Amino acid sequence: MPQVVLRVAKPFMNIGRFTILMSSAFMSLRELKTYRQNTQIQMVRIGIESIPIVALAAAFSGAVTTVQTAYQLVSPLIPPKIIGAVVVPSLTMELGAVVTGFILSGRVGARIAAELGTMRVTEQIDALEAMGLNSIGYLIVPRVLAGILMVPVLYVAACVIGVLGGVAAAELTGAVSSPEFILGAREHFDIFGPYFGLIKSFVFGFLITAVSCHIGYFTEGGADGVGRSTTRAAVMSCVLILIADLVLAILLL
Amino acid sequence: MKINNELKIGLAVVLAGVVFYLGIRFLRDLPLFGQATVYHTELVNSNGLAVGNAVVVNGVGVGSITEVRLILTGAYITFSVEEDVALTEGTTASAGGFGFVSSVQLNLTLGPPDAPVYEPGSLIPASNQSDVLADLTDRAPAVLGRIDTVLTGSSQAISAARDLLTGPESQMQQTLASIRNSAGAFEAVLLAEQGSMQAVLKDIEQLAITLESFAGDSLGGAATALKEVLVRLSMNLDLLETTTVELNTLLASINSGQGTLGKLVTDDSLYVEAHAASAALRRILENFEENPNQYLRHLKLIDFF
Amino acid sequence: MIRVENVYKSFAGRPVLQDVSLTIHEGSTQAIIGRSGSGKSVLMKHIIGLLQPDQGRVLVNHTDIGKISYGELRKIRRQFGVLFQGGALFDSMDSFENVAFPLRTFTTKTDQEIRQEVQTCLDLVQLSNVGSKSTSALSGGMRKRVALARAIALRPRYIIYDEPTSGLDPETSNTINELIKNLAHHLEITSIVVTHDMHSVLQIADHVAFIHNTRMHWTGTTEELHQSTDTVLRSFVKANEYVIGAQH
Ligand SMILES: Nc1ncnc2c1ncn2[C@@H]1O[C@H](COP(=O)(O)OP(=O)(O)O)[C@@H](O)[C@H]1O
Ligand SMILES: [Mg+2]
Repeated sequence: MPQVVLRVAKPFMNIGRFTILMSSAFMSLRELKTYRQNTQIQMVRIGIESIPIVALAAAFSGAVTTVQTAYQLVSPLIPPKIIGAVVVPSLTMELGAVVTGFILSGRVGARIAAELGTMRVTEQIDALEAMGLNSIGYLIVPRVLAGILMVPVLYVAACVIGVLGGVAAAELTGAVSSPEFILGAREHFDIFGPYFGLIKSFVFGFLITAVSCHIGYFTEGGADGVGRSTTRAAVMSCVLILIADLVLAILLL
Repeated sequence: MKINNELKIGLAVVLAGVVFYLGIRFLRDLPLFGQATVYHTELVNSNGLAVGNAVVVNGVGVGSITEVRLILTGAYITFSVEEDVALTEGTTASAGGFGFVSSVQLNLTLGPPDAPVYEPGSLIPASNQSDVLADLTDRAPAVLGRIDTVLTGSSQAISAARDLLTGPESQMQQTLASIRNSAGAFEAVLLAEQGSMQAVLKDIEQLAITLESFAGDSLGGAATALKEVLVRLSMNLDLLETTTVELNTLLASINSGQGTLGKLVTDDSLYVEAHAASAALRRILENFEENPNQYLRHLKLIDFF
Repeated sequence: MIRVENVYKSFAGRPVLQDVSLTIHEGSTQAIIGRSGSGKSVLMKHIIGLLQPDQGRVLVNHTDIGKISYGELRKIRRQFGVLFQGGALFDSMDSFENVAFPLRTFTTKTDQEIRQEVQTCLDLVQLSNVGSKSTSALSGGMRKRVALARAIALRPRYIIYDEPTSGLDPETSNTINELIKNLAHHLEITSIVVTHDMHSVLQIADHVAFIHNTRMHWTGTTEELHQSTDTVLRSFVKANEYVIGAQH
C-alpha cells in the first residue's frame, strides 16, 4: 500500500481494531465469572483509590466556580442566591463528570496503558493467550467494567464534595450564606442535571478505560512504546471526553 | 484482601447510590425520607414549568414538580407536596415567576383551612392567572385593608370634630373660635379629603369599567390596567392618611383651647360651612363603612379571577 | 504431531517467513535455529496461533488451528506450555502465584492441592524457596526457571522454549539445558526449542530446523547436522562454536 493511503487508512484501522477489541470483550462477558476477582481489583484501583484525588479536584472546582460566579455577579439586581443556582448545576451537569474524567484520564488511563503496554512488550499478554486464557476477557473486560461501574460512583462523590467546596467558599468569602446558596440551588434545580451527569460519567468511564486498554493492548516497540502508549492514552482519553461531552450535550439537551 | 475489596466496593457503590438519591431529593426540596403526596393540575399555559421546579405556598417551597405532560388543552402537571401541607378544597394552582432571576414555579393558593382536604392524587383546579395577576392577588387585599384602616381613621377624626362642633355652647364657641382661626387650613383639609375620596371613588369606578370592558379581551391588558389602578389608589390613600393626621392635629389644638374665641363668635357662617362640609364627608364615610362592598365590590372581583 | 505447512508471513509488507514448512514428531525435541531476527519467534507464535499465517497452515494433531473457533484454539493451547524469551512472568503476582495461576484458572483444585502442585513444579526447576519473592527480585536465571515451572504446571503435551539460555551465564545455561532434557525425559513432553545457542542445540535436541533468509533453509537430525556440507549452516554453526569450545 502506498504511504499516503496508509496514512489515511490508519485512523479507520484503529477504529476498526477498537471495535473488534470491544466486541471481543463483550463476547467474553459470559466468562465473567473467571475474571471476577480481577474486576474487583480493578474496581478498587480505578474507583476506590481515585476517590481522594477526585475529591480534591472536585472540592476546588466547586470552590473556584463559586468564587468566580460571585465575582461576575456585579448587578445588585441579581440576588446572591443565584450563585447556588449556577454552581450546583455546573457541578452536576458538567464539572462533576468532566473533572472526574480528566483526573481519571491521567490517573487511570495512563496507568492502564502502562500496565497493558508493559504486559504486551514483555510478552505477558502472549503468555496469557498461550495458556489458553482469553487475554481480552482477562485484562480488558475487568478494566472497562470497573470504569463503567466506578466512574459514576466517583461522579456522585465529585458532585457532593464539589457542592460542599462551593458552599465552603461561599461562606469563607462571604459571597452568599449557605442557606441562600442552597435556596438558589433548589429554586433552579433541574432533575435532569444529575441524570445527565450520571450518563456522562458512564460514557466517560467507558471511554477512558476502553481507549486506554486499546492503546495499551496494542502497544508496539519496547519500553519506548510503553511510554508512548501511556501519553497517548492520557491525551486520547481527555480528547474523547471533550468530544463525548459535546456530543452528549447536543444529543440530550 | 478479597473480602476487604468487596467491602470497599460495596460500601462505595451503596453510598454513592444513597447519596445520589438523597441529593436529588434534597435539591428538589422533598423530604429526604418518607413520602410526599402527589397531586395533579391542568394549566392552560405552564409558563415553562419543568420537572424539578418548586411548588410554592405563600412563597414557601413545599414540594416539586414530578411530571409535565402536554395535553390538548394545555399542560398536565404532576407535583408532589410535603405530607404536612394540607391542600384543602378551594386550593388553586398557577404557574408563576419569570425566567432566570426568579425561577418558574407552581404557586398554590390554599383554600380555607377548615374546608375538606383534597385526596392525594386529586386534580387541583388551576387559577388561570397570568403572572401579573398573581402579583395583583397578592396586592389587592393589602390595598383593601389599607382603605379600611385609613377610612376608619378619617371617619373617627371627623366624628371627633363633629362631636366638638355639636357639643355644649361654651365649647362650641371655643371650637368655632379655634376653627375660625385656622379656617384656611381646615377648609383645605376638607377639600383635600373630598378630593381624595372622589379620586378613590373615581378610581374604583374606573376599575369597574375596565373590568367590565376586558371580558373576552386580553386578560393581560386588563390585569395591567388593574395594577395601575391599584397603584393610584394606593397613592390616594397615602394622601388621605396625611389629611387625617392633619385633621387630628387640628382637633387636638382645638381641644387644648388654642385660638381666639372672639373671632369665632362674630362669624357663625364659618361654623355652618364647616359643619356642612364635615357632614358631607361624614355621609360618604359612613356610607363607605356601612356598605363598603358597594365601593369595593369591583375590587373584590380581583379575588375571583 | 505438529505440522507447519508452507507458511508465509510478513509485517508491514516486509516478509519474515516465506514458504516455511516443518514437522515436529511426538516425543521429539525439535530445535529451531537461526540468526537473531530471522523469524524464529514468529514461527513459534504461529504454532500456538498467537500469529496467523498470511498463507499456509499450521496443524496440531491434524487440526488446522486457523480454521477453528477461538474457544477451540484456546483448548488446543492448553496442551502447550510456553517459556517466553524474557520469562513473561506476571509482575502483578509473586513467584508462587505465577506458577499457581494456570492451576487456579484451569483446574478446580483446592488451595492445598495447588500449594503442593506448585511446590512440585518449583522443585522440578530446582527452585524451592522463591515462592513469595516478587518477580522483580529474581535474577535472570531464576525468572526463567519460575517461568518454566509455570509452563509445566498443567503438565503440557508440548512445551516451547523461546531462547531459554539467552542472556544467561554459561553455568546457568547449562542448568537450564539439563532441566529441559530432564523434563523431556520425565514428563514425556514434546519440546520445541527456539535458540541461536548451538551449545543448547547439541546438548538437548534430536531434530534441528535452520531458518535463514526468511526460508526454512535446512532440516534434519542432530547427527545429520554434524555431517552437513551446507555452507550457510556450517558458518552459522561455526560462528557459535566458540561457545561450545568454551564449554568443553
Ligand atoms: N508483531 C510484529 N510486528 C511487526 N514486526 C514483527 C513482529 N514480530 C516480529 N516482527 C519482526 O519479524 C522479525 C523476526 O522477529 P523474531 O521472530 O522475533 O526474531 P527471532 O528470530 O530473533 O526470534 C523481526 O525483524 C521483527 O522485527
Ligand atoms: Mg526471538
